[in-house]
Amino acid sequence: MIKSLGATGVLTLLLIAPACTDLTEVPQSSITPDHFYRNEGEAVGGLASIYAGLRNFNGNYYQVTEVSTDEMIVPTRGTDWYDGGVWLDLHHQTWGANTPAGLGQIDGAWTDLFNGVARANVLLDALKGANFATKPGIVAEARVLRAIYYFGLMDLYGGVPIVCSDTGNPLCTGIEIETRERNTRAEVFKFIEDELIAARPDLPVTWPAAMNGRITQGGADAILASLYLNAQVFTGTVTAAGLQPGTARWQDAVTVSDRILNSGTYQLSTDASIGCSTPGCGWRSNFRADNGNSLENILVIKYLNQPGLGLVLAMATLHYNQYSGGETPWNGFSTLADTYNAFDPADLRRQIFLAGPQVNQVTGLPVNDRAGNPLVFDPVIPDDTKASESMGVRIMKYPVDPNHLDRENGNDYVLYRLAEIYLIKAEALNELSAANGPAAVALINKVRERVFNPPKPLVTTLTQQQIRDAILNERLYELTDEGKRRQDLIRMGAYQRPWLFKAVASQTQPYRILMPISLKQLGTNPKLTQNAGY
Amino acid sequence: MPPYASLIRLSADAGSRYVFGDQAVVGFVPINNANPDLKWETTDQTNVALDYGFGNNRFSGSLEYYVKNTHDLLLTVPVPQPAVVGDRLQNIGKMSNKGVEFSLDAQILNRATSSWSAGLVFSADKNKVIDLGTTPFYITGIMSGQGQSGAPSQRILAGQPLGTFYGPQYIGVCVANCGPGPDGVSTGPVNDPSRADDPKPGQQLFNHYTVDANGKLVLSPNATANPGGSDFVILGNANPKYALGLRTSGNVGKFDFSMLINSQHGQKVLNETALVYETKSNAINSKNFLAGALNDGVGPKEPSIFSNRFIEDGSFWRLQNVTVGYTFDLPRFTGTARNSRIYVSGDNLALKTNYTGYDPEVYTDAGLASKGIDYLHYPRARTITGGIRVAF
Repeated sequence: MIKSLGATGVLTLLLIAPACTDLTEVPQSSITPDHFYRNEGEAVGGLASIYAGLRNFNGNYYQVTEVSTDEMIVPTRGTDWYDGGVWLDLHHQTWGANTPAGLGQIDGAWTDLFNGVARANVLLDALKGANFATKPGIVAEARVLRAIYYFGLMDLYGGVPIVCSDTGNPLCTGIEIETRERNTRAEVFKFIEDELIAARPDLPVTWPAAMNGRITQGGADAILASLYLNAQVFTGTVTAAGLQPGTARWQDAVTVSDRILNSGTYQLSTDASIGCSTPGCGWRSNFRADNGNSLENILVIKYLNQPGLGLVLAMATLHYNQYSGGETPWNGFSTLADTYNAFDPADLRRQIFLAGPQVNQVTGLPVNDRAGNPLVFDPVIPDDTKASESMGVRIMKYPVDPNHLDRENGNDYVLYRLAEIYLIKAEALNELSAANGPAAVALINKVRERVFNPPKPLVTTLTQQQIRDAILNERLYELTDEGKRRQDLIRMGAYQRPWLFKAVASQTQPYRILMPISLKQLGTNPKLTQNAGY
Repeated sequence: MPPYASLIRLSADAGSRYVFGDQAVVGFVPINNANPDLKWETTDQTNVALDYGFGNNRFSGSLEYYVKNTHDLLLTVPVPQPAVVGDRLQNIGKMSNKGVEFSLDAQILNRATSSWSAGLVFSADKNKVIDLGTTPFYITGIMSGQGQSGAPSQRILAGQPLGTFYGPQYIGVCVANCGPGPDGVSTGPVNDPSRADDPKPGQQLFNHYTVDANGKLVLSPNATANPGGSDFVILGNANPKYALGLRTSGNVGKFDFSMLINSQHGQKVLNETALVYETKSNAINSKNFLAGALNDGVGPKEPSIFSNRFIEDGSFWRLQNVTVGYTFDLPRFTGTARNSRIYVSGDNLALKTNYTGYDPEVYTDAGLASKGIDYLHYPRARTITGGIRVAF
């Protein structure tokens, strides 16, 4: 009896042992990349998910780039909007690896953008074994999207690990989750540039209307133009003492800008070209809910008035009573009085701001504040830690979608449009030579033409430095709320300038042009080194 | 444990949809990170226990001591980027639990028609995270409510128990001339920008810490009104130091009774309800606020700032249950009914605590292994139950 029990025991062990050590799972009811992305339909599904990550550019990245500048402020309003101090930390420029914003949006943007890189890597890796006719175009789109996410990372943090598994690129050593060292910022710059150039020929010049919003050759060129514009910053090194500039690429910026300007694909939206009558409505049409038709917009984040697919920027800025239908806005994001006042009252682009007596943005009817008095936005915020509900000018560049569904608005968010290309070319020409001054001013005036009535062109006799200043201002007027201000201020050496509520100490902390890597990410990947100064 | 947790899986979830033209396109997105090295967590446990009884077992009970060490904890934690999502299930770190449990039961009276027994249970448990691998901490205790969205209140730290509160230390309200602020600069007239970070009258003041060359925290003489970074420190934890339960029961003739009291001592509770609603500046948003804010000295426009001001001692005694019953026969009624019983029982009859919220015994879910956060938590019901049992 005892003997036979022993034999059974040994037998059982032998049967179980292999199962215990080899835990490889073979899923029967779940899809994994190993047996997916085998045809065009599946690959487009993968591509859509990489595109979907672009919406994160309106999340943590947007908050870091906008609220850290003079373009936006999120004042604490009584019990509302303190949120652990993240908004004050961003606007005061007091962030660090371990501060509320450092562990909040600055950490969040790192993860958001790298998630986009990883999604692209999963598809590109799986597509290596696939074969179908439209594969080269899909691969090209995925590579450009990955370059966009790396652009965001390089912009905020400097050098980051380059991770990919593409064949033939020595930088690409595999996409497994691993602790990895940072590549230099110049290496990331080069990677982005190479990827955009390599992918460009496989992209279409335009897409049919049903595919509107997908990346085109013009989209890749616009990213390149922006890359070259900021090349001195992006290829430089940042120490505690600030930026040691890298190599300027002004001529390349001009060349790529010209490729877009001369393509014949894009045109500035004017009142005449749109066929609308309210002055400035042509310019404004680039931001409306029907801006999918805009011939000016080159690269956008596509939005639709459906659950989870809409633009919600209006919610962040509008007063609680200024919207109708399914959602109460949050009454937060505002601009500084100085920034609002920097706009010429005759400039039609000032329409993006809501100041003074207010109406409901859906019905157009006057609205009251919560206490029942007429709602009047006061540009002056005396103290950003204790603002009232009606303080601060609001930014409504993207008008409410007349067909909005609850919070979801169908306005596409602009990443690049033709007006910026004019300004990029103007800036690059001016930097190349003071002799280019009149040509640069002519390009700026091209952008100003449609937003002043009567016209108010800049004089062509400006000095090189005056043109530089004029471009920084013009980019503020033209591109407010388009996520460009931080890059512009950094490129012009103006990110440490004083502005309202910014900590005095930040003026002598030029290393702040790079964000810190959060303590959380440093702990998760011990091979990461912190940026200088933090 | 979900199936296939070790593999990267794709799903057509809502967040992966995008728009081409004016149509939504279904996307297939990886929804988890692969972890081929995933294994079960392991626990070594040692118990030493003594059961005892004396006086002919009139007194009995047990004494137990345990040490439980868990390795390779299965936790969903952040991973190095790039990765398709921010975290994955991983075997991380070590945790220890140890504690003593002591119980004593006494048969005070044991006669033919009456009896009375009483007992107590004492337990003290100590939880400690020993090791988190390379990660210095995990953020948790994510708060909710207006003005607190997403702000963390707890950290999981090596050397500390789970449920450790982490934030700024409140020291009072600024009455007048509280500068200079953390930057130590305070010159010029009151409106001078150099005085921007000086605490102003009506603002809450918090300890400000600087980090010295050795990485140690040094308390600065200058308080801050906008705590951040190194001002965030350990503020206690949500675990009771000990728990004590008392029970008694008995009968006198056909009457029977029982009573249960339980208590916990030394745990901290974050009264987040007070943080959000016991702040005067709700009035700015045309909302009511709790009366407790009326005389707290904080200015009428100040934000609600999470700090140990709202972390309270959650010790309590609770009269958990009292039951009184009467057992009787009903022969005349049915001829057969015996041992019928009528009783009345009350649950949660009394709570003695210094906690200012409704109830310190809370289980609000606020992220990875968080505990002790009370945000708009429904108070426990007080229930009185009566019953009649007729047995045939």
